[in-house]
Amino acid sequence: MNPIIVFFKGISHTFRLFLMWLLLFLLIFVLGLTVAVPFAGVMEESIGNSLEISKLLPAYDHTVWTDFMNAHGDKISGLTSQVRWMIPVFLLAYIFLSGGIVKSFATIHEGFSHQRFMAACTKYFWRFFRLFAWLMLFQGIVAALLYGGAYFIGLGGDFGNLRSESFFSNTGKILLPIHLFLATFIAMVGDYTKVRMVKEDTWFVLREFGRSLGMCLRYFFRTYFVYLLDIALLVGVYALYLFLAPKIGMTGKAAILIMLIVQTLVMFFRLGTRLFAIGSASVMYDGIQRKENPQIVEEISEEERAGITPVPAPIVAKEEQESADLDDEFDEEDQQYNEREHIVDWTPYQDE
Amino acid sequence: MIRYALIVGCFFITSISISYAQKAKWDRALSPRIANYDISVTLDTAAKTLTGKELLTWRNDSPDEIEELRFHLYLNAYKNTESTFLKNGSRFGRLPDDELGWGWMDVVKIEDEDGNDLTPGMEFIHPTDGNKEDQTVLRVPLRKAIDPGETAEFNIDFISKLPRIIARTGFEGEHYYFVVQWFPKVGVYEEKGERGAEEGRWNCHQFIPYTEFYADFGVYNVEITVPQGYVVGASGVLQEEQKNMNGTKTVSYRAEDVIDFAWTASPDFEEKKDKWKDVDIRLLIQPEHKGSTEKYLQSTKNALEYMDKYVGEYPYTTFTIVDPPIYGIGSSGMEYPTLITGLPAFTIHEGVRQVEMVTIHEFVHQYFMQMVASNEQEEVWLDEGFTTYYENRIADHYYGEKSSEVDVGGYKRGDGEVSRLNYTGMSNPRVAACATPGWDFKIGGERTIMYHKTGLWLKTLERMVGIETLDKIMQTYFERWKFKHPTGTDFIDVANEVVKREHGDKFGGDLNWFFDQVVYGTQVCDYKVRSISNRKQTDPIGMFENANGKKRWRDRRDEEDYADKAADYRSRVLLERVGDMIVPLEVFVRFDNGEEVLETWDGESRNHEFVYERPEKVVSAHIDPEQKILMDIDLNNNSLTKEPDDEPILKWASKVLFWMQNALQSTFFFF
Repeated sequence: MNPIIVFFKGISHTFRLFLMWLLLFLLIFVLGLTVAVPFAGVMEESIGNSLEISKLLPAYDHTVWTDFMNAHGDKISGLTSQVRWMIPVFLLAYIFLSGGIVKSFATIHEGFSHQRFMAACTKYFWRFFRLFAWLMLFQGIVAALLYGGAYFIGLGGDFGNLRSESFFSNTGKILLPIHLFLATFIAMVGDYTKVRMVKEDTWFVLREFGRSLGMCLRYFFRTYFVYLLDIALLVGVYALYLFLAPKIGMTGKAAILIMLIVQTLVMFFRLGTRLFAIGSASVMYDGIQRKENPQIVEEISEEERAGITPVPAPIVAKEEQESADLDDEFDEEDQQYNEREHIVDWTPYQDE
Repeated sequence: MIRYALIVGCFFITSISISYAQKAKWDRALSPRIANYDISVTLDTAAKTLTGKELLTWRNDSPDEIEELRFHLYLNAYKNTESTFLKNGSRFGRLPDDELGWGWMDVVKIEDEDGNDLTPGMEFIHPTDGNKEDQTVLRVPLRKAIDPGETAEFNIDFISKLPRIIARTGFEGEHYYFVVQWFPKVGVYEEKGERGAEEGRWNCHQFIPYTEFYADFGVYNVEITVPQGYVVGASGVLQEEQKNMNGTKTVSYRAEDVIDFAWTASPDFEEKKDKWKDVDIRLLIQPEHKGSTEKYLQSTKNALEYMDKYVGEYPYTTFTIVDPPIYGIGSSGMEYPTLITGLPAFTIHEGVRQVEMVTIHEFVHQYFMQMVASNEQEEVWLDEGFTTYYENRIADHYYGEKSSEVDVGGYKRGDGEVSRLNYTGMSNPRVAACATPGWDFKIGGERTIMYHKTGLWLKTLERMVGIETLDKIMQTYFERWKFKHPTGTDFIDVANEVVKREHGDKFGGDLNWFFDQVVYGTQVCDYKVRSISNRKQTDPIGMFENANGKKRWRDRRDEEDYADKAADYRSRVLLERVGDMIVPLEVFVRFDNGEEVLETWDGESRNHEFVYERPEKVVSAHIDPEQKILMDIDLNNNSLTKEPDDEPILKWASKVLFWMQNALQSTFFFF
């Protein structure tokens, strides 16, 4: 359960689900296009033939932009209202798709299956929606406790008592890191809860969240470190983008097209980091389960002996080959688990 | 001997004074010095009151006998909700929820120089709106009329209760005081003909939101007693600081040739000093805001330098900037003679220049409000609009035309651009004319019209007549009207005179056609290139008589009848006046061989057409290509091209695509 190994296995598993990754990205890309293309149409129709528009090429021009918005803002407002409903609808869609995503990682050794993906989406939607509601509640409670506490303790519940903006600064220096930590920790526990609910096929959201919380606390450094690596990778993707963007410029057609490709790649890898995190959580969960419950191996072995689900030989061979490089770093216990992992992965749909 | 020693010792013990008296910059009066005040005031920090004694020395500069005085008691605007200010001023924040929060001013006693008690005859009057509950104007009948040219003295005892800060004045927290409009202040007597007066009259309006102040010039000698440990800042020059035995100290200030006197006190202020030429710049800043020190000081020096160069000399030797605490933010961004309040900012990005903009704006008021003392109640545009114009100019000059207000991470906007947008983005830019008195703005829009529209038409005028001519207008206006009370007409007269001198009849006999629209009218400017068409020239077809008078049908199949034409295309450029403001314009037309033609249009008709018969096609047309007429509310429709540039659209569409995907993927934070 070396966290670095787990992190890389999360990445490698995601690449093995490249088709799923690509399809999810295309969904987001197409939704983006539904706003960007009409936006381009409005621009072209309204100020496309104005000489002023060329001022928007080298940089943002406040006068050109605001005159455009003043004169044609009603056309843009249709698009902004589209964005307003599209984002929550996409969130619902993402909750729906999460079942398929987590299931695909749980059955990684069988490759990606559309049928399995969609079946899992349907199966886990309501459970995951309830988990989402609980996560929002927990996040809200944390934020309310932190900032509400500061408001009532520090200001007596009245901004009129504010004596210096240093209150915000000093409070922020303390609360913001705490909040960031707690928010990411809750999100991480949420990921483990999703993995647990799929792997254990359980309904009780709060109980599974509690169990996942317990597990994440017991293995805090390993789990949170992997999660931090995923966040760091996301930050790295954006840092690279921010480094490249000014160099490319977007002041000519070729540069615009290059930037379009770069932006598309950034979006693709941003989605990737989310999948890496779920993949890593799946791998880590299996490792922890195996460590805490070694008898599972025997139980499953008995089932396997009963001939319920023979492990496909080519996948085993492929997995062994792929993990050969990484396995060197596993301890003996992990090595043992790796061999059994294929047995754990036997149960894609037998229980449904 | 012991007795003498005790006397000498007592002198040192009861009061230790430090003299700061500075040599005056001028050995002559700069202003008429009509209303002069010697005031001694003590701040009671527990009761939040000021107890004062005022000696008013007032000269009758009119040819009339003056039989009454009128005073502003501004603090009574905050006495109760029946005052005209609070009835109309709900936008000035919440009302006080405790007794201490309300403000008022009582004239306890007023005597003339002969010792006659004038107090019994005092009465509140309501010359502006007739609101009988309003107590912001006090009429004091005199026992003895003041003859023309005569100077009279009046001793006034008063108590002022400071409110929790509202409309810039009052106290906040335990010990922040910003003390303005705090003493009984005599109104302005305007003689017949002055500022359009048909006969001699007192101009002493009630206090109404957005109308600010109007007063005569004078000399103020003010002694302020506050607890020791308080740092005091005030208009004018510090003369002396004396520590008293009772734990207080008295600071004395003298301000010459000013129209008002403001001061502040707080033990929290840190003092920073700087100098520009012979002007001592003093910054009183909250410790937590000291990161803004350089922003305050440098922007002040920039404004001093620019106004000195382009408008006229700053004649005072001091300038004080007060940085309020966050809880006293209600006192921020206001101008008083040689003293202003800035914008409190804790930590602010170097490229976000709100502190600089506010400082520059309030400094410029030293010229338009303080020295050129127009009536801030009746003609707000003359001070706020002119100040906004120079704020934009100074900011754009020192910080970049496209980045003076904000320059952060690729997002840039200029102060002048923002000012223009404030006006062009109004839902109803016809809400009122600039010359509308503050109290006649019944449905809002006053700030935008008086500040930003005025600033914008001045910028438009600058581009029309040229910046050198505009500078001459302003310099002439400043020199002619400093330390006086000009009206809008006085400014327009100066503008017409200078433009005529510089440009002859280029803009007509005068610029009244312009001022009638932008100052006194509500017209909106919007010109548009409606269309460009290029049609291949062909010979006429149809029935024609030949030399013998016989009809002959000619159509395009008659190849032999086609003559070579010099002009292959008949091109039409159709222009439209969408708005109701009329301005003469230049129109720039470009042909596909690169040739360019500059046309002119008087801008009067609703439509205007330029027709060309040439071998070349018209590629583009651009109304007002140098963007002189910034008042045009849509500059994008001023041009049209047949060869559109699709790269900007591609760029911004790809940005929207990127942002949209980011927005969608941000939902991952929630699950």
